[in-house]
Amino acid sequence: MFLKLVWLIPALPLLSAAILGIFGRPLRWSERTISWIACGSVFLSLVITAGVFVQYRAAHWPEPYLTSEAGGFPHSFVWVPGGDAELSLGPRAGQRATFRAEWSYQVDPLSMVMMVVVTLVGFLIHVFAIGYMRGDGGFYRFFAELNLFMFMMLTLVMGSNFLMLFVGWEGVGLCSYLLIGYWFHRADAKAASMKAFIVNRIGDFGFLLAMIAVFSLFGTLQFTEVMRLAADEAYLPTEAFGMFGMASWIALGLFIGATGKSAQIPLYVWLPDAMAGPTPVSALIHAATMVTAGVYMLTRTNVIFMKSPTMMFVVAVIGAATLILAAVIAFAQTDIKKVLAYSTISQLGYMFLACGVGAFTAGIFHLFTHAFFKALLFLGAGSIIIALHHKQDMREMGGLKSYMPVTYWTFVIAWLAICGIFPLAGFVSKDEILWRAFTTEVIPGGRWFWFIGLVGVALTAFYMTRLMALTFWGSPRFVPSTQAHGLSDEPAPHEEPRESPKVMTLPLIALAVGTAVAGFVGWPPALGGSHRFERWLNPVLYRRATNAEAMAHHGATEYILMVVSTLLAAMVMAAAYHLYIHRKQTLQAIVEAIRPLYIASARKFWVDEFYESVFVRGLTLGFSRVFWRTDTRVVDGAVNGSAWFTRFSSRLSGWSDLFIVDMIVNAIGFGLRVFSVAFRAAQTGFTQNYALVITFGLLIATAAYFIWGS
Amino acid sequence: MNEQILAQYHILTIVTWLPAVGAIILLFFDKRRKAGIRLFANLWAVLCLIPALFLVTYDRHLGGIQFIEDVNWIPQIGARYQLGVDGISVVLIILTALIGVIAVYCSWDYIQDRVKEYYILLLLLQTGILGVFASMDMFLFYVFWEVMLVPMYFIIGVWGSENRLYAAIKFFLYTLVGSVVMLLAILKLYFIFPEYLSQHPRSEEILRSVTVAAQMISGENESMLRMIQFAIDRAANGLPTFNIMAMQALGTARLDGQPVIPLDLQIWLFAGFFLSFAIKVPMFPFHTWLPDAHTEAPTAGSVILAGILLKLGTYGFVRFNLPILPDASKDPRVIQVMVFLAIMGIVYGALVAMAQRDWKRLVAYSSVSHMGMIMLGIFALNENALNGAVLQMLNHGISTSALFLIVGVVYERRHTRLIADYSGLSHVMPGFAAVFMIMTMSSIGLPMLNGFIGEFLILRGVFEENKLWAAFAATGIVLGAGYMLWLYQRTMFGQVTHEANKKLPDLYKREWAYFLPLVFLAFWIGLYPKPVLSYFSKPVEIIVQQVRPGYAGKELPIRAGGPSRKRAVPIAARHANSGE
Repeated sequence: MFLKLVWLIPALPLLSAAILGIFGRPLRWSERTISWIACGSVFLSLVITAGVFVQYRAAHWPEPYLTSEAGGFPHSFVWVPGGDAELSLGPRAGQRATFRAEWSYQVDPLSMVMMVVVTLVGFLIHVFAIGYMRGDGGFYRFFAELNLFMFMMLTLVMGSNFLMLFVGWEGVGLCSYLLIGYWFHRADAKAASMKAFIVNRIGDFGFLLAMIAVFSLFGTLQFTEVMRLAADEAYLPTEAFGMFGMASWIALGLFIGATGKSAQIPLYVWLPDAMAGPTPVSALIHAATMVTAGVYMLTRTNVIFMKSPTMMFVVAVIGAATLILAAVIAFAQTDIKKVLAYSTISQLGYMFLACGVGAFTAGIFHLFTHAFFKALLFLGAGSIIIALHHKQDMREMGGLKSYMPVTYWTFVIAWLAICGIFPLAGFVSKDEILWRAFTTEVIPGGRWFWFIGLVGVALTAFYMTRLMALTFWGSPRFVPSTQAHGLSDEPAPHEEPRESPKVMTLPLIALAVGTAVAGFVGWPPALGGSHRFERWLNPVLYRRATNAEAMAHHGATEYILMVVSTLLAAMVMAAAYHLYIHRKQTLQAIVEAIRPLYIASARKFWVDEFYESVFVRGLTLGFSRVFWRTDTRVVDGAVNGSAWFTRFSSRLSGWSDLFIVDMIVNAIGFGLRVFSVAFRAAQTGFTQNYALVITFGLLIATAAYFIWGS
Repeated sequence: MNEQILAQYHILTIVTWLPAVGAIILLFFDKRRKAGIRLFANLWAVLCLIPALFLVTYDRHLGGIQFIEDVNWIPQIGARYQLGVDGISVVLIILTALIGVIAVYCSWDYIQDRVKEYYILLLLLQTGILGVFASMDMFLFYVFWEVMLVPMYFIIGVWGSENRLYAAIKFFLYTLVGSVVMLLAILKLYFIFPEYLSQHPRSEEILRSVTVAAQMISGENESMLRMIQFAIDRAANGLPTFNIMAMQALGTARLDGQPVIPLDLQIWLFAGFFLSFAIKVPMFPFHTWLPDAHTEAPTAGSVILAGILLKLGTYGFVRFNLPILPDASKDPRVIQVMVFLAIMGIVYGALVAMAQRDWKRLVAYSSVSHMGMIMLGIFALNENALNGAVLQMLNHGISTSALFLIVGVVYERRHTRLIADYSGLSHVMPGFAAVFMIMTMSSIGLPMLNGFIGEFLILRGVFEENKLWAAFAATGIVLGAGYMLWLYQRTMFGQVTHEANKKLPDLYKREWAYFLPLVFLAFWIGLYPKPVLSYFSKPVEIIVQQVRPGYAGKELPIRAGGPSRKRAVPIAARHANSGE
């Protein structure tokens, strides 16, 4: 019953987006109407998702449910009938395959998790945004675009084939572009939106080619088919570590796509800039959902990745490097949203690390918990930003604890969760990743990856505590502003920061509850749980854990690792608290001591400048200018040159006509005239003269005849 | 048999000549009555669209050439007035008729002087283009091909902007050079056809082979076969023909596994057609007429140029080079050259577009890039890529026309095309910003809009032939996003910096009226391309089989009963039979 309504889950937000986009402005709807339509549609999607979850769990799990089973439109339809093709890769190369991509949705354990995350967190953020965007001139546009994003994101996670995944993939990119550039009059927003789109496109380049390679190899883009065939060892053999075969190439392309969307090295640079968008956008798109699409995609295609240990290692290395780099940069940022942005990048690094060590379920679990606590952190930041009239610099905050208690306490929960404090969501999922890295057999060097992860825990604890200290604790540093600094036309702001209205705090509370309990769905056996989350996702994995494996716990080692990471986090938190609240001099001294590193961190290691000068200005614009010059001077030069040559030669021939040909003609005429003088002289008109000439002529002719003739 | 009924009513003649009839009627208007002329031209353009829409009754399962009309025209040289369309021309004709309406409509305010002449030329141009798509006789094709140049020349040269004369002459001469060489190729084909079928030492075998080929490409389509058979029968008696489909049969025919037209000759003929079509497309490095012509032409001129005229080049490749000269088309040397030029076009066009300061010129260069993509799709020589290429012809017609209309909108308001003169237009023209955004996304191939389907199918097919080509072509997609979004960012985002831009009116109702159909088409093709693809997927399948027999393990079916007419029937008897 609910399964028949699956198509409505993305369709409702799309409908709402269309209605708001088309009628919002001409009909001058009130914010209230717009909020009801926008949030209502997402809420309905959430309800249907819940229903689908219950029904799917009861009747279908672990088999995937495809909407094409339910029949034609609107459940599914043939989208791109591209004609027949020949496979060009793998064992079936040369055989016929028909390219026939269909538009259908797939409900399976993985997409179910994502649907829950997207609709639940999405709904809460929609509600929060009502308060956040109050009074903004483009209220209708904002919600139309946010709803459109929901549609695209749901298409991304629910699509039953690569092409639909790509639809959602590009679609969320578009919405991200539109929403980052929402305040398009601002220079930073307009630059950031374009940067986000272009960097993502570079990633899509890899994804697109990988997707085409998948078709050329398997002859289908349908996930179920591709994964079934890919699992076949004869079809796609597992490669040795260090080898780079077909599976690796495909995995590389997919991973390039993932680094773009999920902001990993080397394509992470767009995400911090993307903070120019409104904060609910940052929470929904750039923290909870869209940026995790890469992790989703890797898990979706885990069969292919597992066939290539080389690429698994690359994924783990990139994940590990990103999590450290981003955490280090987060150290010295002063903009609250920038810190959270780098934190997101760092946490995404954890998820990729998990994928790289073969713990895809742990990656998705972290994605799941992270969605709650990172959305909460961003919304908390949004609440602060509203209270301070769009001020985001943490140097002008401090002491907000007493002004904004709800924001503060929910923020505290998120802070503890991201630092990995028992028993909050972050603790469970992060520990799962660390443990799986420690024990991995998929790639070599697992303990090193564990160690890097552990360093990441310390760094996370530090920069998050710094953020707490600078915003909520200590003494207030904000100047009660008297003029509106904001982007809305609100009247003069209040003297003091005030707690946000209910429409904003209720989502915060809901997310805080989620943050507190989300971990329990995947509670590890070592602590008396049953890894329910992992077992739920198990069917989508290539290397499935048996029930015994999933339930096994490893005694002392596991406990020791847990304790080590928790203690480390707690100690760093305490130290950071101490430094930022009580020992500011010591802090100053430390910063002075590591000044080069501090500056490098603050300046983000000059990666942006490097990219800008080498890739953008250097290569692209450089070639662009060179080619343009070539075009006008050489290519068009040749055309104009030949035109000039034609004109020149025609002029030449005109000239030669005038001076040579004509001259010859004239010369002949002149010559004739000259000769004619003599002849004219002979033309006397006297018969006697003519007779004389004839007689002489006759004589000469007769003489000639006798001399030379016969 | 809807198709035959429409053919009886001479649907293609009506579609082709109706605009010209309008032009003739306009001649009788008093040229001072501008409003009347304008109104008549607009109504007439809409009227011209109606018969074109009847072509959707093209029988997609039957395939082949339909709505055939065949009348003797110049018997001395064997040129006939033969019209007919397959699925590829059907979609292009409908696009032409639609763009024609839009081009006429968008000139409403812009054209103020010599109104009468302008509309006459626009309608004549329409007839020329439609004639090219509908011709089944090469001579007729050539006549339309050349005739079309003249009105375009005047439209650019008279109603263009500052540098219009230079652009018009460049356009005219450039295209003319190509056509002259094509004429040689056409004449060569014209002479060899009867030669092979009647004077060749093995003409009996060739005749049989050509007849089989004719049956293969006609499939179940009786009237198409009749048309080809008529030409073959004439040729068997030593009489020449200009029939395109008969030439295709000759190109497809095999003698002991070898092409009937020897490879060397095919390559020469290919070169002849190539020059003409490559200039029209335009392929790198024959593209430099395009930015000038597009930039200088009035909006309607640019719209027709980009929307339809460029497709004539790619259409030519699909109609002539591939099926008539299949062995040259799949010769590795030829393919290397074609693919190199196509990829150069994609990357080079995109990079040059990025450097432009002139809005219109940027869009013009983007066409070079997109057309390169279409050419690459054509010369991947497989079904996916060719389907994608034909679809992309349509898509480019939709999105680039819209982009030129978009430039036209601001040009009419501000009379400048410099990007630097605009900024923050989203503030003052939100409706315009939305349309521009949709068309930008369509142009850069965002899924759910039309451009994506075409580009994806092309890349899919190209990847099958060579992974590296696909990778190079895909960079065009990244660069495409680069120049288009940069353009959008510079013109639409930011603060309104120019005083004159602060009071720009948003889209008028009239402007909405011509954008909305394009927006609708962009979404429709992006979301449900199946109906559109179904028109040409069968013709495309057959063209691929003509070039690469046995591709994807398929064989062109020969009709049951096999080759039935082995001996040439005397012309007189054929005439009596077909009731002419």
